Amino acid sequence: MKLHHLLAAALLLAPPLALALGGPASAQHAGHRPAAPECASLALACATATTPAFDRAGRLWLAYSAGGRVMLTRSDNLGRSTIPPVQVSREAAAVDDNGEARPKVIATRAGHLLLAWTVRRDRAYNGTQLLAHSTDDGRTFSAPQRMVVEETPTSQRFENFAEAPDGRIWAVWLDKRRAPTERAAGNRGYTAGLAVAYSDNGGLTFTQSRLSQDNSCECCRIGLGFDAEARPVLAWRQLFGRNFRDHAAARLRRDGSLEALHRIAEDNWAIDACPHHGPAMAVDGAGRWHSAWYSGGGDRQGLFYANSSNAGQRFSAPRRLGNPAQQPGHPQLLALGEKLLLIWQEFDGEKTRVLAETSTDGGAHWTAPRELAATTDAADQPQLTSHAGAAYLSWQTRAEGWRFMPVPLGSGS
Amino acid sequence: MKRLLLALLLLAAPAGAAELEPFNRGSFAALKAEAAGAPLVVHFWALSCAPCLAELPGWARLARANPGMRLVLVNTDPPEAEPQVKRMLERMGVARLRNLMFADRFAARLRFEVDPQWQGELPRTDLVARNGTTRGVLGMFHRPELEAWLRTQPAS
Repeated sequence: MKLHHLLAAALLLAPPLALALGGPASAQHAGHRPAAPECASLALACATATTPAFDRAGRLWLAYSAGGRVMLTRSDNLGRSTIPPVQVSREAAAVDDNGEARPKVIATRAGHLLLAWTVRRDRAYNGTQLLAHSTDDGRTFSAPQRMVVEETPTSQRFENFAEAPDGRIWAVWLDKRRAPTERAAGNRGYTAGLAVAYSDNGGLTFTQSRLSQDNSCECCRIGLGFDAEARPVLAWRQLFGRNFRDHAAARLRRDGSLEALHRIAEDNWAIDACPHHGPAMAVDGAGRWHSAWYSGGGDRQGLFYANSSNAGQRFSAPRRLGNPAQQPGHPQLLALGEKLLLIWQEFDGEKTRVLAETSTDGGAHWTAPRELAATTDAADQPQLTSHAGAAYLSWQTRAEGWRFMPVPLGSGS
Repeated sequence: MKRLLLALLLLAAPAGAAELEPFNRGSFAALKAEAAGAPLVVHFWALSCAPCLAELPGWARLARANPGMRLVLVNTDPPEAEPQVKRMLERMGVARLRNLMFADRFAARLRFEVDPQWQGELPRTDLVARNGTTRGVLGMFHRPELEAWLRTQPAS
């Protein structure tokens, strides 16, 4: 029997879904594992969207989509290599992984792993959000279950979820449960609402969800951070007035309702469309809210940043980010105490670049932008994560595979 | 013989079956060149865009009411969505229109060729005038607006 036959047999017999596809990931500074022109395997190199999360021990978990599956792998050496991936979803499906939507993982303080993703299940392309958890360090996963159990299934998409500093797990998403009623009442312009649920048992079960805000935009990711009292702070695209798809920020009460809705900026972008372009939100150690977002028109066009020192009541004047001629977009924000990292991507028609600015004084002053990485083929949205006071960029690109690199936040307090 | 071939073709392609041409680098310029001075409407849509699906059936009516207009629908979903895209085109009654689909995963580069400012907002409709000038319109497109534009295009 030839070696590749043995390998094939081993793959077929591999116990539950563990795949012999591990091996060294791209090194920190050079992508040395280029993806095949048409990547068809379930390996990390073939991922469409990859989302990182550290556990308390500093091991890096990566949830990703490839070949219609949701996969999980891990790196114990800050990205130099990854272990063989485990398949978390079951049969191939239309996984929502356009970058705005992506599979995500949480390594909970209880030591469990929790994955969430969306599949578009029917002729109308409605979204169903799924959850799976592992209590054996990622070796096996529960059968995927619906995150939302409703009487009349409609569509839920663009979930974001995270563990608050007090251990509660919050999930937020865009929810169309009211769409049938609105349609029946003749409201053809109805979009979606912002729904919230939480779990106090490490994600094993979630509370019944609450529609915390209606008339949100329906196709943009939701920014999520936590303040010092472990309360979620959200940023999302919301319909204001007749049809201005501008950005809202709000803190959630313990029951998941909005404390108050604040408009981050009056961009006045009126559009009956899906921008597929959601905002970032981070709360720093002094309780300041930081947001970055994209507006396609109205009074302001481009990528912008603003912050608020009074829990969203007033935001600073929007500051333009990046080169407006190179499609600046898809921002991410990370706060570590008073230090902040803000990244976004730009595209010049051939090359996509990830740019970064940092601040060491809670967003009062920022460095000039600098390039962290670039690629000349298809790219996922860049992601940020942190562990032990250090910040990292995780970026999936078609030509280079998965890349992971530290991002220095500069000196100062 | 010709009739037999035609009958076979009809059998092979059930009524309403969608044909998808690839949209690659250079396709947008090629569509414009092909129109050769006739008013051209290129409409971009995706499965994950609810407003796109809401207005998709309207394009068949528009095409019927405006036979002098060249209309092309372009789907921007990734290649593996092709079966769902075909089913949706059939369901929405637009399978008989000219349909293209992004054939390159590097969608950002295809969008850039249409408009260097286009970051992926959908739906999007590009109106190409007889003299080749192009105007991109983001968001749902209303029939009176489009017909008003067509009226500004002098007869050839």
